[in-house]
Amino acid sequence: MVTFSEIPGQEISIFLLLFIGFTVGVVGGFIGVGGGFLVTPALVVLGFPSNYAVGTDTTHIAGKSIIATIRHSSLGNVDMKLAFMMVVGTMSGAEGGVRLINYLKEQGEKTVDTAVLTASLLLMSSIAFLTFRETMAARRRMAELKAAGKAIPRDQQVSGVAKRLQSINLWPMIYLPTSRVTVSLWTVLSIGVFAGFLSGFFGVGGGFIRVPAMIYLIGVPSLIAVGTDLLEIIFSAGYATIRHGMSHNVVIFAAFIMIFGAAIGAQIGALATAYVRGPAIRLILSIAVTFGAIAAALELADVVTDESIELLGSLSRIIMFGGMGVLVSLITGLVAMAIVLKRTRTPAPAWAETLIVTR
Amino acid sequence: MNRRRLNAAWQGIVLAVLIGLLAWHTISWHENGQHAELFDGIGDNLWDTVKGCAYYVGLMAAAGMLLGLFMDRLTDFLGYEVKKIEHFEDSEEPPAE
Repeated sequence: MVTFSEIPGQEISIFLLLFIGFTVGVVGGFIGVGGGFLVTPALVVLGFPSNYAVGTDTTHIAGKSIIATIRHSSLGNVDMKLAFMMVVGTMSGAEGGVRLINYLKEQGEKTVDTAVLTASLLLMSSIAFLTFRETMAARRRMAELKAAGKAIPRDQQVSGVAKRLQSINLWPMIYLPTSRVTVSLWTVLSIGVFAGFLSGFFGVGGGFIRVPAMIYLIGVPSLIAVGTDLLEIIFSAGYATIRHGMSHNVVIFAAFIMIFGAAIGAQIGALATAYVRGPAIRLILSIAVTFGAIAAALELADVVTDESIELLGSLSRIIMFGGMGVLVSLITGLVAMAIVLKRTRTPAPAWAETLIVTR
Repeated sequence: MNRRRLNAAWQGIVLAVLIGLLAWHTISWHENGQHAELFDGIGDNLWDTVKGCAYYVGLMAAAGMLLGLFMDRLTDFLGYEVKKIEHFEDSEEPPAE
């Protein structure tokens, strides 16, 4: 157990901090998100006041993302050019989102909290549903290709939105060699500003917004979207660390402990991407965002009922820790299957062919 | 042991020592109240605020870099081959020009 002078009277388990760092490292390293929507409630459950949970989590995410990006870079999953363009857009948009929410809160905090939580819940539910639906359609397309005697591609998308946006011929047109996409700079910046605005407004890191945005709006392969987003998160979380530091929201020793767990988790998560196809990333992302949406729903219910129902708190704990466990199990399960099938030269079952790579 | 694994071993040892020093520094600053002093000092004046926030960012950057590089060397030392992923293997779509 360890105590922190920043939050007097609280004893926190070092093991649980390492465990939280490890699980969010696995999940974040695999789907390219910071994991704040999983970690922040977990830290609250451990006894961190919510502002310290947000600040500490953001700080550890900045360090964890460096670890994951180094690994993703060695796998060829990072599009540096795209990342730096998106950072410019994202941070501008996020600053706008933060200023707007602060302005609205000055007009009436509780009403705004309820409205923002409701909108956040709708946003996460929409992203989870649309991503899941597209992933299932992509898997069907891959199965059709297999049935026609063709090889299953590493990644497959069925959404045509990216193609339409790429066809917008607005100078300057940028070629992204890693993603093999040609797109207008303004398209990339606009998507970055939009995603950044949403993340700043809803008070989230935004990985679960940017990764689908890169995949479905710019047309980046899923694994490259993961690595590129993690590079972006280094800058956005670094900036957020400064802002939270200035607001006395950071328990630096806790963040330092968590990063050791994240170091191992991020390796597993990042290396796991070498064994899966694009739809697996999107499927796990949609499940993770679903857990986030459920947590947002519970938080909303808590606010609406003025925290009068204790069951909501218990349910929130079960969802958070259970959700982390489910995600880590799914990721490690897919990887273990891929490794075993590859070594035994056994063909993958039909349902898994579109998710894992066995050759 | 081949040259690559030997290099990875040496680099890993150096990185492990640096990580150990960083951990020792962080734990001792936690124990002796320096972290609390930094935390309390934020907002008092510009210098203390900059110092505190820069320390947070710097510590995470240092920890992230050292741990990330160490893990990279560790996988090299263990003989695990990390290959670049062929993202466009068997893709239906022709690559953009």
